[in-house]
Amino acid sequence: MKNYFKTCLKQHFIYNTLNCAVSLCRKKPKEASELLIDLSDCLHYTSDNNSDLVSLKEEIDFVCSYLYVQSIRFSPRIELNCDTGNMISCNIARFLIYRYVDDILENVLKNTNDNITFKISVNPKEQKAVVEVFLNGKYKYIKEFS
Amino acid sequence: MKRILIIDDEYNNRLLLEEILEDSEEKFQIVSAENGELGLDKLQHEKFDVVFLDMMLPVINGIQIIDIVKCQWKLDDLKVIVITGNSNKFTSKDWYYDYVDAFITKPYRSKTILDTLNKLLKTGR
Repeated sequence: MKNYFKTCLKQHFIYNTLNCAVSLCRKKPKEASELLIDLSDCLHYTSDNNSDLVSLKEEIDFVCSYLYVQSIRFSPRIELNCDTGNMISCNIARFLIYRYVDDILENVLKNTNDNITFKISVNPKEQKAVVEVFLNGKYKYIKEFS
Repeated sequence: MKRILIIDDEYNNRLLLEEILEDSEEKFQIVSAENGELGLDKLQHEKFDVVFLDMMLPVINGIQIIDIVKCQWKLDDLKVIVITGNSNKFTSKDWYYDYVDAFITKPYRSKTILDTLNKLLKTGR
C-alpha cells in the first residue's frame, strides 16, 4: 500500500499543498481548511488500495478534489468546472481519469505559462464521464470515460 | 537595505515568504517574480543580495536559473536559497549543489527562513 501511495500522489504535491495551507492560514483560514480537507480526501483515496475498480463517482470526486487543490495552489492559472449532478453508477479503473488530467496538467505547468481550465461532466444517457480541457480559454482536448 | 528576490510560480508561496520577511526585525526590500523568465530579467537588471528560488518553475526551472546566474553571469555575491517540496531530491552529487547556499524544505517555519537568511547575510554561508 505504501508503494502505491507513493506512485500516485507526488511528494512535492503534498508538501507544496501543505505550504500553501500554511500561507492561507494567515489571512484566509476558511480557504486553508477547505484546502486541507480536499488534500485529505486525496490522501484517503490514494491510500485506500483495496480494489482496482472503483465507482465513477469515487474517481470523479477524487479528481475534482485533486484539481481543486491544484487550482488553489496555482491560482489563477487553473480553473475547475465540475458538473457531476447526474452521476451514473458504473465502475471504472482506479486512477484512470486522474492519470489523464494529471499528465496534461503537469505538461502545461512545466512547459508553458498557459492558463488551463478543466470541465468535468457526466452524461447519464450514454453512461460516460467527459473531461474537456481549455488552454487560455480555447478548446484543446476532450476525452470520454465509461 | 538588503534586497531579496523571490521566484515562485505559486502566489500563496510568494505571499507567505513576503509576509515572513516583512515580519522580520531587519527590514528588507522584497521583489517577487512569478516565473523563471521574469526572475532572470530582474536578476539581470537589478542587484539582489539573496534569491529564494523554487526549483519547479514553468519553462525555465530553478536549475537552469542557477546555471545562468552562477555559471554564465558569474553573480558570485548572490546568495541562493532553494525552497523545495522534494527534500531528498538534491544531493551533493548534483552539479549545482555547490552553487546553493541553503536548501529549505516545504512546509517551513518562519524561524527557519529568518534564521537561514540572517546566518547567510552575517557569515556568508
